[in-house]
Amino acid sequence: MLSALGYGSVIAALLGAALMAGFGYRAGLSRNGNEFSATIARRAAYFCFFAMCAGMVTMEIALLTRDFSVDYVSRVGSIETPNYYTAISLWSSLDGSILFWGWILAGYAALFAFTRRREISAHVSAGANVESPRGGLVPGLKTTPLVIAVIGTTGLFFFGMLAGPANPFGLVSPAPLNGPGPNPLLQNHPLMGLHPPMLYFGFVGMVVPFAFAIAGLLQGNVEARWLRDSRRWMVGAWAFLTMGIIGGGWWSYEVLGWGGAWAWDPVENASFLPWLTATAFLHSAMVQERRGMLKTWNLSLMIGTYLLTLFGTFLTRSGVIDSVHAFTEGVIGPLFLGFIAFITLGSLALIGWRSNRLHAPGQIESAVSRESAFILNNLLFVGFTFTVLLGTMFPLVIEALQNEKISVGAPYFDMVASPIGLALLFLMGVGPALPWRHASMDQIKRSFKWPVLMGVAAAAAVMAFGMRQFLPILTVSFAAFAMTTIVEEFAKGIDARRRIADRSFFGALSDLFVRNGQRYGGYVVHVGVIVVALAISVSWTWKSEREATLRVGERVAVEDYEVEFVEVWGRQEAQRFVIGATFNTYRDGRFLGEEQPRLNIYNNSEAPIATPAVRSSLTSDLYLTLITFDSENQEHATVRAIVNPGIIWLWIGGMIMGLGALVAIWPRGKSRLRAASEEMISDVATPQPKPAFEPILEPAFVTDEADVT
Amino acid sequence: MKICSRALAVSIALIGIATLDLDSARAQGAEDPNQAQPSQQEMPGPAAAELDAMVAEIGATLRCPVCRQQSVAESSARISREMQGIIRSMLIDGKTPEEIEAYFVESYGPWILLRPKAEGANLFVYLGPLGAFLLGGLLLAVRLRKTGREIAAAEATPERNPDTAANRDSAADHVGEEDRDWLDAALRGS
Repeated sequence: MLSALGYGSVIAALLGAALMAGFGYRAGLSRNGNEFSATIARRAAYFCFFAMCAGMVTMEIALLTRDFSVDYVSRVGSIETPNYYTAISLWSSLDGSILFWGWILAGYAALFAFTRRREISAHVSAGANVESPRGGLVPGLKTTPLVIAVIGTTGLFFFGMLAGPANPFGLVSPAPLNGPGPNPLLQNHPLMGLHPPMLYFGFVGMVVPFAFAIAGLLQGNVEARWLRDSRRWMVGAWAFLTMGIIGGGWWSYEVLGWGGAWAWDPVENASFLPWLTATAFLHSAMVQERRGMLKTWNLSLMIGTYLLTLFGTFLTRSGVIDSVHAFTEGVIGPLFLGFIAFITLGSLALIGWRSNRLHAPGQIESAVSRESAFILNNLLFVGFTFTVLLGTMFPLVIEALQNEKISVGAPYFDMVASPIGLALLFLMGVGPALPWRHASMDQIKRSFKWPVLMGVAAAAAVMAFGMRQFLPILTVSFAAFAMTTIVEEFAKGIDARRRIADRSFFGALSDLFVRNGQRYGGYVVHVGVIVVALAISVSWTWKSEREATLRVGERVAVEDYEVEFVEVWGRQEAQRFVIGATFNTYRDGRFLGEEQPRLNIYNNSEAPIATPAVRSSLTSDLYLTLITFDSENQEHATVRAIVNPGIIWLWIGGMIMGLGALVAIWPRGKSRLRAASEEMISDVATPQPKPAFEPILEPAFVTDEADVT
Repeated sequence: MKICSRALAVSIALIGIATLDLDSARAQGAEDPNQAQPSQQEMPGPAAAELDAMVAEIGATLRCPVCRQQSVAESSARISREMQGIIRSMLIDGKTPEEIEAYFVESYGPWILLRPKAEGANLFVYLGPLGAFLLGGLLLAVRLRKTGREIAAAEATPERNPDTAANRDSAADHVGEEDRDWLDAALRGS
């Protein structure tokens, strides 16, 4: 029964996507497009979302009631798995995660449609024409149905997969009595419920900016409102992606037991690649906003980011990354590749067709200006993307060409990433301090006096404390440099607000966030990046590790910590057997508490999953992994004790980044009027691409802000 | 992320099956990689710490053969621990890191190296990023120089004068700057 219900929901969603695409393109492209088709496209998005919600709920019910007649449940469910891990096993296997992906996709479509729900009525009540005399909607109203149509088109692919080759709702008859349970690694830590959804929200969210890009190309027009809205969707997806990546690192640190958070594993790289291009876009979009330049480049970044999310998913889900020969297995891989090829070629054709319309009127006036800092930033981010992509793909290329297996691992990526990361950190201190267009020598001296002084002072200070390694010194110095720039930016802004509006210090500070959240939220993100950079540098440089075999009562010392072996124990749980060792931990001779690193042996796998015990503090973490123990007499155990200084700041920095992004996209009532008047002025002042188009008078209150608040 | 299942399975088939006799584990040298290696406990002192660091350094560049992108130094799989033992005893025998690396490449193929040797086709993975950055930088520089010349030619036109535009930004009212800018942009029609 659940099987039929679920499959019916997927088919309904497929129908919804077809309506989104059909009526959306009709409203956006055809001369017959009218208010009716735009409305149907929007409602189809709601319908699609409700259908996918039904599908999701059905799957969750099937999972939680252990209905093994449903194919997916029979493959990832088991009676013994606790309910929490059963609920999240939705994304523990391929077709379940495509279902989850599809649900989020429909959710984004519906949310987008919802924010634009009053667009047409506001247009009418403002007295503007909805339909152009030459047929079709007026240009200002075409973006919404086109964006919905593009999302619907991608929906056709994903829902089509769910209806066909990746159907999770298949009927298993006769139903097995029990299933194997999810992959042991995915049911070993509660954090598994956190970062995969974050990553999915980030990955799938990139479809909205992509749809904006295609809508802009189809119309041959990317103006102020288009840019502002598409960027806000990008910031939202970017924030999820950032939290997902950092959360994934945290999961990996808490679960995998090797004492680090980032290993340049292909799966990690796949999440990092779209993050890099999205970050590049968030910066270069400002050049377009201020100077009207880089339109085609920005479109390419939006499309490229979406392609990288698809490519990353393909790479990590199809098994290709382990060997090119895995490519032949299954039909989903080739389908995915076909979809990627379709998107790539279609986008390239559109860009080629429209690029002359998007030619930028502006120019870079000086190499020392904020816009050239942004362009340099883009060079670094895109170069970084290329490097990571090359390193990730290289073993496959070599295997395909020379039939030889090689590895490209962490030592390679660390080597190439450090200089790029450092250059970006440095640039982060330069960009915000440079004026647009052109900087005079005088301005440069004024802007950089304090940042340079602080950078040098920081380097001198850490060297005085005995630091000798080159890279960490440079990191600390650049971090201080960039941080001072940010502090100066805030100081200038607060100072101005206090004088103009006669505000208190905190009043002025909150004014900055309220009035210009995009900019000051961005600076908060920068603070997060600085914290992350320092955490990476410190934890990698001063990580220290000891491995020791201890008899009961014996101690081993690592840095200022001591670990004392107490006992080994075992415990049978429903879904696993747990072997643990208890250690007393001390810091500077003071008793901290007991820690119990464990080995979990799940019923569906003979491989034990080592679960480290982590004792965190703001200064350093003590990280214990049980390696082996005396299984006969329980007299001794081998433990690996790692002291990771400052690694907690990696997660804190990630949260600061997410917080900054939230500030940047937070809907603000006050900016509504300004945004609306900006719209009218720029629309009136902007020459339309073809005289046949009517001048658009955008209705004043149809921005996202207006609807959400 | 790292999955090291089979290795751990072997290393801890300890649920009554295998017995781990730590005391009898002795260095057997590179000739016999199947024997467990001594733990550091048996060699205390500062020399041992230095040796540990070298083992870790070399281990970090070698791939754990049964893991997914995990290095020998990080992995707690049995085979990685054996490889650490081999590295240790080879170091004690006075072998250089290069010789140790060569030994593992001979046994496992170039796949064992996490940082591929910079030779042959592998050069591309090292030179590719360098080339990309140089090319990008070059294109950018050419572009900037070209527009720089155009600007110099257009300097006479008042609204193109960069100084007035630049000075605007440094004007005292920092918050009002945004508002002025969009107006400017709108009037310029960009």
